[in-house]
Amino acid sequence: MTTSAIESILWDDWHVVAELARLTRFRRFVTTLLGVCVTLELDPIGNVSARRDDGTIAAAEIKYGFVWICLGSSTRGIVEFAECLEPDRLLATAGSVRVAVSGLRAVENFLDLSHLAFVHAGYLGEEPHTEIKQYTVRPLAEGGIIATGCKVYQPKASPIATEGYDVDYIYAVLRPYIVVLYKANPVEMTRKDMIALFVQPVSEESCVAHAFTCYLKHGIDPAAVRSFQQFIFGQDRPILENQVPKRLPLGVGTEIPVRADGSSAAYRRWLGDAGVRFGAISTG
Amino acid sequence: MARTPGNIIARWFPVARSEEVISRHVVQTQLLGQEIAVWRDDAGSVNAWENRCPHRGVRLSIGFNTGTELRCQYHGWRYATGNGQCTFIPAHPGQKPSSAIRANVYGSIEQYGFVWVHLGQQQTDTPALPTLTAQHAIALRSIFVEAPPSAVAEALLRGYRFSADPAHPQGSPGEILMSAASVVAHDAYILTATAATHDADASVTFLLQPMTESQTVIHGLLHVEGVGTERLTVLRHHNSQMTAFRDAVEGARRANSGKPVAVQYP
Repeated sequence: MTTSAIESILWDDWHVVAELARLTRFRRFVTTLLGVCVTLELDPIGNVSARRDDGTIAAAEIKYGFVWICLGSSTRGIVEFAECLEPDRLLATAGSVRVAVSGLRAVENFLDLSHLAFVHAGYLGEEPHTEIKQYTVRPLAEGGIIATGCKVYQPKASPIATEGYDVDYIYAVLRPYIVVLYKANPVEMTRKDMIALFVQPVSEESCVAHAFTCYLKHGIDPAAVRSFQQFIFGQDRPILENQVPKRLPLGVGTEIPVRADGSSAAYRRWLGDAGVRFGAISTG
Repeated sequence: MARTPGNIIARWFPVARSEEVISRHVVQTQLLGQEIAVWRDDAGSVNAWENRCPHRGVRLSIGFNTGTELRCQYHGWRYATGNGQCTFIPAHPGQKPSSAIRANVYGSIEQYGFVWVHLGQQQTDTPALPTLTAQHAIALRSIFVEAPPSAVAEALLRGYRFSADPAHPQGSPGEILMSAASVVAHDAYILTATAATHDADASVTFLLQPMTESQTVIHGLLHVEGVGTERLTVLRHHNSQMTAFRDAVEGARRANSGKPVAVQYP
């Protein structure tokens, strides 16, 4: 696929390409976004610049501890999270993991409830608590989808959880490659911790998943957060890399969903309606 | 006695040695570009399925063989031995899975020490299994070669030497020289050659498994009636001869192309 053919919904949007902490003043950082090689540099006062292989400059910004770039002409800003403005939150980058699969598969896996008891057994789920109760999926006005009323029994739902309980979840896909979840905080049950996955589409069949956490501060140790998220993602990665085909099929019939896959089915439908092709096998 | 391969989809190919397909394991292999998960149930029956869970596409070869079912690693869906019918979806434990949810099952049979698979429609075009001599047969180590089956067959026919009596390889009664003259039967995927002398009833059959257009597995079956041979000695001899053969074939291909042969996936 030539770069000029990439759809505007991706080309003209902002994507994370690096964790800021990976950049130093003395070393260039080279990465790939949507098949385009990009070199990042940090200047002495901490501004970041991004240069494409053909010498042209791409817009670059720093937000949430990550470097974001837009290869086209940005039509909207970087995603905003109101929770990040609350003073008692700990904002932490939680690792960037390269995965040899379409980033759309990585987003779908993040949305998936019924794998928790198997892939994350003993942490985010456990047999025999495998049943997925009915939840609600709606489209978002600004594009994307939201799933509410999700309940999952979790033996160890967060780095500070000490016993298992039914956790309330909300999932939202905000951009084709950006997904976020909210789950009830184990101490302040009425407030929610937030975890976002900013997926960098490297090629149609590979990505880097950048994790971002926004937990309530009390009792949280940033190192423990990173370690927990990376451990969990380490369990997902071999599953993702064994999905065939590597791109996400959007058409009906190649893969069979059940009711528990409501959010995944809605995500695929929305991607198709929005004309997302990079990383997808379109309905044709 | 050259035969044309006919419809390649409706033809049996060996995809694994029976002894590799051990209890409670899942073997991953490939035939004509199609990945296959091969597993044996506790009753001894072998299954050969498309290596892909129908739900979300995860390879079934990383799944768990329970002895009666194959359980997918991703969401714990279970598929029954035999027809591949999905029997249990843990996300909806109270519901019987739709009969439409089943693994894609290929025709498979165990014969001559191998698991054979064909990719055709089972009801309409189950092919006939090639007739081989099974008496006193030893299944040799299967060797993977980074080369198309046609190139492998051609190289074997250029004079591959093998002895059923490795203690006396040169000119011994058991020596088998594969050549256009000594090969008694072959088509594009099966080559049989007999010993040079007639006082020993020894022959070797090589069965080629086309994994992809550029990758081949050479399976071997040796008949050694009348030749006093230690099994282990023969297997070691086969291993060293075949390793040298593979290195030569792959080396020649690399030299010709100037770069490693690309691995092709469907």
